Amino acid sequence: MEAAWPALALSLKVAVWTCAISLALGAGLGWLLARRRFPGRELLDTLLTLPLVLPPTVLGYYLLVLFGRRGWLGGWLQEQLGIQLIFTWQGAVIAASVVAFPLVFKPARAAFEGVDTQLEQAGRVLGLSEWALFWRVTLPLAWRGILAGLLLAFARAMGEFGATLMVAGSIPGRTQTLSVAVYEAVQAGQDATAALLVAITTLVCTAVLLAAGWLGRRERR
Amino acid sequence: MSAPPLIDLELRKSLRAGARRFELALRLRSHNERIVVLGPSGAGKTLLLHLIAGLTRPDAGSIHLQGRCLHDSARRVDVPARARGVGFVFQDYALFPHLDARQNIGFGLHRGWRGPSRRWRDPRVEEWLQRFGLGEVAHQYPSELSGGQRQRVALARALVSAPSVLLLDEPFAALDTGLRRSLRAELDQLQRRLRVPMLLVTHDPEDAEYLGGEVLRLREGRVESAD
Repeated sequence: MEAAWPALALSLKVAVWTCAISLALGAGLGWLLARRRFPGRELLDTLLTLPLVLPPTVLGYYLLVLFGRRGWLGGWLQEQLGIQLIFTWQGAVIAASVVAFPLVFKPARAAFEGVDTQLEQAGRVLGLSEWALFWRVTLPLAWRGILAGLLLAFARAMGEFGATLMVAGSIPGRTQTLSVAVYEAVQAGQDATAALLVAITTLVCTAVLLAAGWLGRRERR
Repeated sequence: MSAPPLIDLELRKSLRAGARRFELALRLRSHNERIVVLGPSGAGKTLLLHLIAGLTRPDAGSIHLQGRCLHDSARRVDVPARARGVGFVFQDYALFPHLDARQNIGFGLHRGWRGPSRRWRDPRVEEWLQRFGLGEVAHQYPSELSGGQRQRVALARALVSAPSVLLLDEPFAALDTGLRRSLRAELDQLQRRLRVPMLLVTHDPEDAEYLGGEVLRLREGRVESAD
């Protein structure tokens, strides 16, 4: 029973960080692919979308290869900065971000492509810098699509299981998120704990979807 | 005449779309405060305006407005669009759909990363709202405006910062005949009063007939004959 609240707090923390990372990277890369032409653009789009279709365990494996003690990046981080990501909540954030990022990136690209380039040209002629143009024309017109993706990413991060378990493990109070805690409780035959965890997860996800619907209606006015 | 020509340009630009190749190559030098470029669609009219405004970069050539060099390939001069100080009225106006009429007109008076708010007032914007009879609809969004009101908002937005030249891309194409006539007359009077040099492109010979000035015929990227 007592595992429930730390697990909920951790899941929310991971989901919020995942949203922040997905927003920055998803909106940035979505804009880049929508507005700039460069060789390998569609290949990059495919690679960035891959986490959407690959099994999370495969992603977890890749992340271990990359960030593990003997991984390319993991070894360097450990030696140079003394940072160890495996079996930490930051590791869980990275796992959830890889899985949830395409949910922001895809709609963001579509939303930016949906902004009439003539409006951006009008802004340029009126004296705006590219940066001001992004904040005052492109982003306000693409915002709704990005927000929809962001809420999906939040829900996806809350529910992330496979990659998180492989990268962050299941240390109660430290890396055991809600979905991992459900699995552990069922395995250990703690039916009451499992039921509580499942109820909490369902409630939180329902609340997120309601919030999404409400924001969508408010935006449309 | 010792004053430099209002407009002096020599441009070359080729575009490729699939197998189709389009080449624009023209010279234009005029002291006239009114130039109407007449041509069928696909003649390169919009491209010409984009080149002058700096939205498209020519392959070679130069652009001078009132003696000011905006582009010169040979000297590697290329003033960015935001610093050219031209007014541009786009074919379907390109009004910002998320901003009301007043914010649209004042858009270019704020250059930072935050635009004018809905409560913001500037005498220059209010003057244009009055002049065009838009006071009643100043707080309405472009989707709530009539065709004529949209055109006036686009014109006011282009003129509020006192540009050195006004470029108009088929400004009457989206309007019905009656409205087209009255707005043509309005533009005619406005240009006389403000004395802002104007370059208008159109496919409609009536526009050229009514607005007069120097008429150039553009076909397949080349000037056919000068009147």
